[in-house]
Amino acid sequence: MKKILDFFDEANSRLVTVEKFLVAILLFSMVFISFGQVIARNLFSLGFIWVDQLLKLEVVWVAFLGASLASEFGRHLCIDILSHTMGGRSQKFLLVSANFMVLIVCIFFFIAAVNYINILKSSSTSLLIEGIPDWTTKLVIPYFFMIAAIRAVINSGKVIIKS
Amino acid sequence: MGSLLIIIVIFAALVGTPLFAIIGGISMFFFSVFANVSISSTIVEMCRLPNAPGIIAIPLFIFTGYIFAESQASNRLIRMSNACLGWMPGGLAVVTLISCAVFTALTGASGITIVAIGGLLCPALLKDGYDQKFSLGVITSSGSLGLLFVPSLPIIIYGMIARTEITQLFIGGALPGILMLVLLGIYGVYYGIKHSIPTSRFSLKELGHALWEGKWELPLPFVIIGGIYGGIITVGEAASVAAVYALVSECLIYREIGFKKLLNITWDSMIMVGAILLILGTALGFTNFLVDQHVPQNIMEFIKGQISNKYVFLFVLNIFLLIVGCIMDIFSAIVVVVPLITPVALSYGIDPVHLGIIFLANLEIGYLTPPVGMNLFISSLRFNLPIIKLYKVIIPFLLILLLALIIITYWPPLSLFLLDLFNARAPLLEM
Repeated sequence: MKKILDFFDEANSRLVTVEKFLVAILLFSMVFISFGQVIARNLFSLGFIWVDQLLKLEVVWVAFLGASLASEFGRHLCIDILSHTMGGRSQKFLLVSANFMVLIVCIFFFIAAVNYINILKSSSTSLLIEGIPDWTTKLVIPYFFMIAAIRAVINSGKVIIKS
Repeated sequence: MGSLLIIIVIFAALVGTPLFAIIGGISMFFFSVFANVSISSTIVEMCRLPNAPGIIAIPLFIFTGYIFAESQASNRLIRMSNACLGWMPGGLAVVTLISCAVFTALTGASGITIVAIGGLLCPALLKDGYDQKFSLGVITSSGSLGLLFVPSLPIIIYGMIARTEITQLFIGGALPGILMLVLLGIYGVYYGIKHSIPTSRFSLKELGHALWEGKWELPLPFVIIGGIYGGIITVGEAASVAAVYALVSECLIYREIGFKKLLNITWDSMIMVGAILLILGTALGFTNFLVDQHVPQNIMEFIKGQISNKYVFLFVLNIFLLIVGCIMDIFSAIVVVVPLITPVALSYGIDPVHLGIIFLANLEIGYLTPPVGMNLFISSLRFNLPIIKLYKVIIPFLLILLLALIIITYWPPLSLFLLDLFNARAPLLEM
């Protein structure tokens, strides 16, 4: 059990590195592209529709990759009334229960996201940005729910093994 | 089945399940059981998120806030405020309030103010002769004080969820925010006089030095506020200007943030962006389900059957929001409560901007309200004190802010005067 968990933990930490790299690239491109847009619009009265579309796309990717990192570092927003007051075994029970809830919801969301991508794949011919099919831009959604589910299992596993 | 669902949701919330999973789970369950549509509908709704106006402002303002929080901007801000106001009775208390308000607005009200500025100012307040009770109270209460000022993130999110013009909310929030600041400032001055706290002498030279030291950061609020209020740039554009400005001033000019630190800031800030936007995304589906099922209308009819008077409704609304504010963080509270409350409140003839300001002022005060206000926990952790002690010290500050809340609630011109002045008021929505 511990070996399997260690393997997933190692793979997960590599994935975190890739996610961090992508998030940084996306954020800085967002900052500079949007700033360029402000300069172009206000100083040269120029505007490009594709820039707005690209920025919206980047917001989605940054949001889901950021959320994926939030799952890794336990930084999702929650109403943590009890965790402030409890400790020891009760705290572990809270952590495992919360991760179990996340696992269940994320599995359903993953199925829903895959269905959605399949619908887009079969029906959509429109291209968001020249050469990029619309559905590929949404792949980050099923990715997030899959990873969040896996991380919920890893986090629970760590808590159980430690105790 | 309904009771079982309620029990599961309450259990999930209590054990600390992330809000996106709770809201998303409920939304998916409702869509498939009550509306009888595919569970993929929740994903379709989520994909509408990037079309929300001003969405780009969220990651960029959060990034900007994190840059300022990690640089020495807070020290320069304190030095500038102290040079301007340190001479008056209760000067350092007023400096604390102003510094925290500006810092909270710039950093998106994420609770970081108490950690970043409180840690610096608490020892200074104690050293100047303010007692521990007052010092902790002023820092804890000012930790969320800038929530109504540009470019506060909760205002942007409120505007997106309530579909109220964000620029109008920024304009509307200015005077109520100043009112809260002034009332607490008066208490600080009163305390300074009553306890004969020594004041520092005004020095034009020190003021000059402080302003010179902060010369690269000082223009930013004017650029953002002037740009947004003057209608020159949109909120999203202001966010990109602020991000580039922060990068240039803190990384290239002051050189306080190196490449490694910048990368850490990037990851930290985008984790917060992910956490917030994911909740917004799942909430969009939930909100649309509620609207499709006429839930807000049903709540509206129920409440209107019980309360016919607008002022009584506002009183009940305040009590409700204060409770919400003390048990939920501000982003979750906005996402969950706004879609249910807005149609009801508008049906009483309350202006949408005024409603937004009431809503946010309540949540701001909710941060301080015992037993579970977020600022109380942050202060308790930061200063290593039992939370019970903070319950006592916060009372006078809480009462002052409640007075401000009453004025904000029952005197709409305070929120709407500037809109009228700028001729930027939206026509009242017809329900």
